[in-house]
Amino acid sequence: MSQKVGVRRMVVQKVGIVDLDGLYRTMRRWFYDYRYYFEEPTSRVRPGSAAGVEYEWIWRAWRKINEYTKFNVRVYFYIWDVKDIEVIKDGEKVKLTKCRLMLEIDGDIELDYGNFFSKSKFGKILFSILNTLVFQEEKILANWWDELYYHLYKLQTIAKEYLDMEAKGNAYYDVW
Amino acid sequence: MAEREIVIDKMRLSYEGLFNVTELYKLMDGWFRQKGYDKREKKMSESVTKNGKFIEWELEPWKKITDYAKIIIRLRVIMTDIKEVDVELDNTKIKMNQGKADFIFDGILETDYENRWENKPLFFFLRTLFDKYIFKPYTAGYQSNTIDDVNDLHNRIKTFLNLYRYSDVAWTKPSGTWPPEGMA
Repeated sequence: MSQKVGVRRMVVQKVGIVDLDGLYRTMRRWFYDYRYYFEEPTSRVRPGSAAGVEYEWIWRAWRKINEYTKFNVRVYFYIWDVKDIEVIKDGEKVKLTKCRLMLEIDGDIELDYGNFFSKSKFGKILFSILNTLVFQEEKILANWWDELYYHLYKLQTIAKEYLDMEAKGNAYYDVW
Repeated sequence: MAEREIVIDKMRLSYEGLFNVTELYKLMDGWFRQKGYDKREKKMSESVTKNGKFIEWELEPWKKITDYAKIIIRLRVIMTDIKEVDVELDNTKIKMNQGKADFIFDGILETDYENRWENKPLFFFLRTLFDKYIFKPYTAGYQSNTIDDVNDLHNRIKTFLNLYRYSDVAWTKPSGTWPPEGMA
């Protein structure tokens, strides 16, 4: 069986007026730019309450680093009280969305995703040796973990900037 | 489980007045990067209320000092009633924010974060002995590093907020009370 090493989840919350279409497109584009295979297994609209409808989107994306390692990314959008409004911005009418939004970004590194090593007992011993002695958990595996971790922060930075949050910018942008 | 020692417990800083929220964030983010901390933003929240924006950040960056010990700074920032205002400075209008900001700092020293010394009872026993009698000077050094880093960040933010300029009141020993002696 493959082994997953999770990276730490991050949460972005915003209540106010946002450009939901733009956010969707920009974040979706990020996966394309970083060569991730993208899919959206869940896209739900619920009637919600009098305050507005509810949306739920779940994204899954992955990228194969080599025959042994794969990056998995999961993004959860929970949006409540969604109401479309028209705003005049720079003299032009723009359609924006008033809502409460919660964005969760999560991911993991999947080792031996092709299950090459799990077929026999000997394979499992090799898997353990490969991770501890050859890839040396601290050196190579930690580098992969780091790469995925800082990739996710780039995605989070894009979301924060698109949502026009005060916590803009990323001092770690040149890491990976 | 790794052992977490809270070296600085809930050190606080409050401010009310003019400041720039984005610049404050950049200052903290840049400081963590400069000091070799890994980024960790647990929660970034922002909502619009009647009296202005409510902003909440939960940051928990960490720095590995050795294979055995790492420093974690837990910082919670709560900003309320944040409004955007235009301020005239040297005949030029600049945009700033006005509101209240509260900072809560925790300095944590985590030892054996890879759980290497907890697999067997004998290892655990040895680790406790080593920690108590052999590694004590090292652990004390790590604690003082944690205190120094939290103090430095605290001072940077204070300076940014123009409360004090390089204040001589610093946190010098682990304590569970606030304010420290001599500051009240």
